[in-house]
Amino acid sequence: MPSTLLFILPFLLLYTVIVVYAERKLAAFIQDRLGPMEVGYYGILQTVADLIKLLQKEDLVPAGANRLLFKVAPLLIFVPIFLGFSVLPLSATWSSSLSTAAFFLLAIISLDVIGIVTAGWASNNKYSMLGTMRAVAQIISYEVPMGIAVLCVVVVAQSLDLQEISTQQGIFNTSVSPMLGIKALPSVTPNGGFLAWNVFRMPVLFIAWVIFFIASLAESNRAPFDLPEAESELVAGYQTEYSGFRWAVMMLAEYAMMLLVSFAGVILFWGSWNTPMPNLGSWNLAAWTTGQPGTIWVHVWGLFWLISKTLLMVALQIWVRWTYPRVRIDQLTTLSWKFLTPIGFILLLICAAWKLVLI
Amino acid sequence: MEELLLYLLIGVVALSALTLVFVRQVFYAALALLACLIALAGIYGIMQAGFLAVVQLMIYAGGVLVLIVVAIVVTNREAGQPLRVQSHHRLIGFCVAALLAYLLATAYHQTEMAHSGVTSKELKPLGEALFTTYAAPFEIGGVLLLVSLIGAALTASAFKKSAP
Repeated sequence: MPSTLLFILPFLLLYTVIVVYAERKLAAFIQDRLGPMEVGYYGILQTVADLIKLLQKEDLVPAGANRLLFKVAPLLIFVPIFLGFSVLPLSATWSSSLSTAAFFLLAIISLDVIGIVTAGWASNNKYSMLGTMRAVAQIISYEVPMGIAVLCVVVVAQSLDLQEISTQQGIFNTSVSPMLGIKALPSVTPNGGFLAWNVFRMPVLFIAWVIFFIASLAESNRAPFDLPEAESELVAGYQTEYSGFRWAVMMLAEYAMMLLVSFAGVILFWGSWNTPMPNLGSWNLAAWTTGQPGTIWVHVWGLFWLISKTLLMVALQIWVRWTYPRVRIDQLTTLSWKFLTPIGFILLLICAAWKLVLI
Repeated sequence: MEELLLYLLIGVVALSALTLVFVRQVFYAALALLACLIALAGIYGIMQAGFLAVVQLMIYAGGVLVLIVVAIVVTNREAGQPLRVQSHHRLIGFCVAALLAYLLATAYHQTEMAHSGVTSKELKPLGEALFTTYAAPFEIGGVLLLVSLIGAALTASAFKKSAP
């Protein structure tokens, strides 16, 4: 899809430059430091300087590594994640027409582990191998609760189409959507706003979102689940041997994964491209901040709300990273298999029963 | 355009399948299998079977292949040498392959391929058919998976007990 290449790729690069800076600043503020201050005003060009330094570095391949696979692996990590962006709806009239988009997203996210295994195996390094094994154990475990959390939304929305799921959460909705999922209360569709979002129109989905968020942290190898690249024990895990541009691609893939799971979380749970402001009496806030279909404003507002909410989610991920300590590998698998998965199944049952009986 | 893409994908499938057979190093073979499976998913997608394409990606590329790759990585460098495969029983293998090809070719010629007209937009009929007309095979498949899951858990726990 051309819009992915023309819009998402430049956006992704710009986003990475900004978010790396934001992450360093946020980390500094959380630890009561100032963070990067030297390059540019308030250190704002620090990432650009780092990027230029990275691009100048020598492209090293270790002597004992498998040359071909070592060179291909960063692309194998990045390409599946980038493909995931191609199915996201960006505004009310701008989306892919894939009717199984939610399922496709889950499938494509699980493919990047092959790239990670290839990178770790081709490096021929003990730290890389250990990081790889951890990455695989982690990503395979966390796909299960994540899939169940997405399934809860799919059961409520009765669709796998991300655009259909998005439309249901706003004023363009055509199906019945009672307030807080209770039939006796009036429909939220004419008012729109935040009450029409999935987490509010079906309050159980908020717990499903918590599961989704925890699983998405593990899926993108972020703290407190950054075991595959734990600096204090494994140097840098599967990316230990990489340098220069190839390492930059791996970092880009990690930040792209953060963005992708945040997009998915916002689209599935937090109202997608819909405005948070409801229509109140003669104040048609929702209509004003959505734009008329067919005009450019529907794209502008849609992108604005979608991207602002997504960046808030990314900020939440960064906040979590600098707040919680890293878990142990057995704690990580225990959390996934013994807690998140059973809770997810119970939620799925509740959502299905609620959908059948109450709505 | 679509036809061109279809032939391209068929070429990728054939080429990667041949690579899979002839390459000596197991890890390369696994990656060739990955290319083969993804190209197959692409063919399903072009043939308007979007759901089948995503299932192919999810189960074969994302599930089965990841397990194969992990198994290779874990067992690989035991002797310090990468695992390589050799071919044995070439004559018998060739005979079996020829027989299978003959079987597939006759089956292909004897069935009429009707264009069903069902597009990927229509997921509902598929789901309804799975739970009404084809409920029994669907449930048997589920039971089979459950049995293998319990078996795997049992095997793993027995292994743990026997370890010192």
